[in-house]
Amino acid sequence: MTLDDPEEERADETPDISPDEKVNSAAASAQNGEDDETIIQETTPLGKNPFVDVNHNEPAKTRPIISKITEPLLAEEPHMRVAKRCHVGARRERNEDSSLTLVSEVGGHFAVLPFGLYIVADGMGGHTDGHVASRIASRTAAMHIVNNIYLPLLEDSDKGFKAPIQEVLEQAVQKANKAVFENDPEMDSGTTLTVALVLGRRLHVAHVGDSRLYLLANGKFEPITNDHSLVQRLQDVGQLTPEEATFYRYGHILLRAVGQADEVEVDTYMRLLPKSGKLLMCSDGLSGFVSEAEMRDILERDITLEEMADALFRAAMDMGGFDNITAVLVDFEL
Amino acid sequence: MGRLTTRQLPGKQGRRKKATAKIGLQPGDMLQERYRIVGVLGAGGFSSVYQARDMRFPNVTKLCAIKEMVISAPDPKIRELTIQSFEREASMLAMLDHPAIPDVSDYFTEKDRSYLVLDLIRGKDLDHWLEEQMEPLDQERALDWAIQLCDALGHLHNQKPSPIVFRDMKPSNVMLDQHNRIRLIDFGIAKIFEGGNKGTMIGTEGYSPPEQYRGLATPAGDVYALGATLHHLLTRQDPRLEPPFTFAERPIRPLNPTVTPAFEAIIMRCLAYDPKERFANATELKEALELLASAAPASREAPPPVLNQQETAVAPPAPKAKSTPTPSGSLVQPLWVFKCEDEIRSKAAVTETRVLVSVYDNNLYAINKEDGAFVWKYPTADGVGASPCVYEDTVFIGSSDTMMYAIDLRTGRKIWHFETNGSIYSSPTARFEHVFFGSDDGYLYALNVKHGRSAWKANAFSAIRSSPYVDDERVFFGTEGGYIYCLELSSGKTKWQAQARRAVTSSPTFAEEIVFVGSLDGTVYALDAATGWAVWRFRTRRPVISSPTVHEGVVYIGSSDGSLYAIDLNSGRQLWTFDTDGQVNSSPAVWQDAVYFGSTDGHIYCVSCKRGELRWRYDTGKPVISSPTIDGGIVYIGSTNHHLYALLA
Repeated sequence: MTLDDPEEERADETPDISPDEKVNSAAASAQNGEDDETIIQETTPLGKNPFVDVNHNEPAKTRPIISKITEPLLAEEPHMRVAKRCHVGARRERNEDSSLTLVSEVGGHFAVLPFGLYIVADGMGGHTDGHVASRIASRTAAMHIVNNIYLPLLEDSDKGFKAPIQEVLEQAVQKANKAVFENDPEMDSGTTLTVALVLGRRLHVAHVGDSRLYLLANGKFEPITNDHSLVQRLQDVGQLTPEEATFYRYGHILLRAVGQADEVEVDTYMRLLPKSGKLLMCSDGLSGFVSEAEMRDILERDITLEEMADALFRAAMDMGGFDNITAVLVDFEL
Repeated sequence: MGRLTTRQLPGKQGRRKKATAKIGLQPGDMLQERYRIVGVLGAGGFSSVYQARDMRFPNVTKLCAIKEMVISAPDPKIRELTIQSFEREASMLAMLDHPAIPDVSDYFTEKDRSYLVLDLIRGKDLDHWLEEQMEPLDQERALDWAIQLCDALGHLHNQKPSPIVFRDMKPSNVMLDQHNRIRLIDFGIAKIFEGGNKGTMIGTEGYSPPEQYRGLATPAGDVYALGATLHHLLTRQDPRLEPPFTFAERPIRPLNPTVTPAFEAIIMRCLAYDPKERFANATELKEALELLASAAPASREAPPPVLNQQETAVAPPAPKAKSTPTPSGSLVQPLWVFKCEDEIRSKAAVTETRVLVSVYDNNLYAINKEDGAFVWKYPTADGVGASPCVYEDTVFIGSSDTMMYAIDLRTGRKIWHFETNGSIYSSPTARFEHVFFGSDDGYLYALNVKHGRSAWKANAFSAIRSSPYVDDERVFFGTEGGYIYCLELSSGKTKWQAQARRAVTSSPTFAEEIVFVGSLDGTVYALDAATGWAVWRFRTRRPVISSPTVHEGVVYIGSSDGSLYAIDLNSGRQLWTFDTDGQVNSSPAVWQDAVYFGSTDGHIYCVSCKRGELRWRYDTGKPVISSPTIDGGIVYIGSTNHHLYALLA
């Protein structure tokens, strides 16, 4: 670039400066459109102007900014439908899984980005307070995300600095971790925590443990998360085949869990979602007993979403229902 | 989700051991009416070691160590089997005769516990030794200890009719006695995960080989665990706090400069996933170590012969590679060099036959691509810092003289010019029959390529030196006022603006509906293209002037902190950095599997995409601010030494 001496431009820690002044003046100039009006007179004939070809045969200046911003979203009527099961199963006394779903679709002229928050936490069995850990983790994470993403989204302003989404998700899991750890510093309660946030067309994930997130789209059923389990690690280094892994006696051993230390390493990830598809989040009470092929088969049946959630639950129960069973299904059209 | 990373897990202070509420023996307790418990030496998951006094010698204080094993199985048949196997192991141990293996003098079972009476070793185990030491173990001592351990393990492995496998090699099972001799303790009595309940968390031992988790215990497994122990001692990275089996991703030498490549290679061979790739047993390992130890210090750098047939054993180099002179560096010779009158800070544009480059001597040069011969030059009225852009047969170039020029590519004659109210440092982007650029007058302009008429201009309220990125619907650019703008392509109206903390001189790039750009606030931003909301940000230590490039899910960008960064697109996490001795304000370019860029340390660098390893570098003698353009395997890049280079990529 043109500047080669940034020495004097040392980055400092000044707080974010409110952009109000510039926003206001920008808005003012956009409203009276002074600049645009004079310039557009000079524009080449409309038919030859590729801008105009792409964006309707009318002068750009007559369209309000806001309708243009939201146009692609309004045209599609996006939606996210949810069905879930969060069940104790057949053998356990207590449901130590927690799930949380929150979907917001604000339609109308001033539409807001579709927002879908899905959380699954699987409290550790054998430890005294697994159910408490999963509850604290899922709620703490959800509150942080609502405060730092959903509420700013509703405020719908360009003002101030909005924390990067991946950072918010990571902080949410760290907060959940701290909350579980501090709630129970003496005992070994812990939980998995998988957070999926759909914002607009982008999926953001933060993940610790062996609960799973799958995406079914364009004829592909793929796992999004990586288990932080010993059995997965053994497969990664070629010491176990997937078949052996199914019957592996240490399948329950986690390498990372929320609430075990004052900090936890969090996997974060994002991707653009296809226009339509399904997400499946589950605890190992489902994925540990029902094969991926069978889960996929259920998701591809010509039945309602509720019936699919039911079929997934039944499949895990048919295998004995040895663990708590959680399945969160999302059918999206974005 | 990405693979397991090797980031440091929370420190020891953050991780608590599982609370054990087991009732053990108390001082004064008697066993077999002979051993009086004096105190506890250590307690593990399923066994404890006590210090006891042998009362058969009432007149002297004869101390011994008593190891207690809890038989937890409720099934009486399994209990019986457990006790039998315990006694068998104890008998076998009693027959072993090695100075590093403690003598067993007695064993017995009382109630639900079995006991083993051993020599008391005065000293400390290596776990405690590690806690006390501030510095990592040096190679000389590590070699000495490793050879002693191999000697003891080798004694076990060479037992007939079948080898004994120690199974639990780790620092806490190795004692350093008062004579600084190594002694093994705890003979495979506690097996991994015995009695593990469903729901047990964080269960990896860290030192055990992968196959042991399938129940396979072989001498090669002890070799692995010894390698893991050495790795821990040398790096001070506790494998119990790392993802299991990640030693290969954590090379030793960056953390311990006393270790030679040959010693590291031996340890890494011990740590191979596949037992067949390791030394078969401790004796084989000992031979390799002795060979290394006997070699004169000067020749230690050479790998020992045993490694020659084992290329895979060599550890991958550190992900953070400090630039060092490369042997091939001198082999990089320019295909041609073109000399101008002043500094080249811009990025060259390359066509089928020409290279176009703008220079601070006010000129735009057209050079023959084949041989670097001068074709024509076009003089502007002031220095040219911005880069040219070619669209069909026209070259566009902005100048500090406030003009945007359209020049005929073949003749070098001006077709039209357009005047703004400020110097132009923003490089133009041409698409859809229009050329887009910013000016120091604070406007972004969209001009028709044919006649230079303005389609629109947009007020950004501060100088624009960033080059716009134009997609099918939008225009993205940064401003010196610290904003990133997204304009509607058709009208120039603002769709969104996002704020950085300092100027955005870097030019945005775009991938997967995300806009990537750097700022003088030292941060690389990834912004959602639809809303401008940051999806992640990545902080470097100094201002970022370099513009990012995206290749196969990785964002490459330089910083004036001296490093080139490779950042994972989907997580915003650093994959590697490459350090130079200057600022990296040049914008990287990727060709095949390498990334190319310049540094103010005077070099042009070629670094591998995967790990950031230096492939070659070329010294121009003056800061390289210019960004490379790569075409047909040739890198075109200028330097402030007034030269433009054509280098073979």
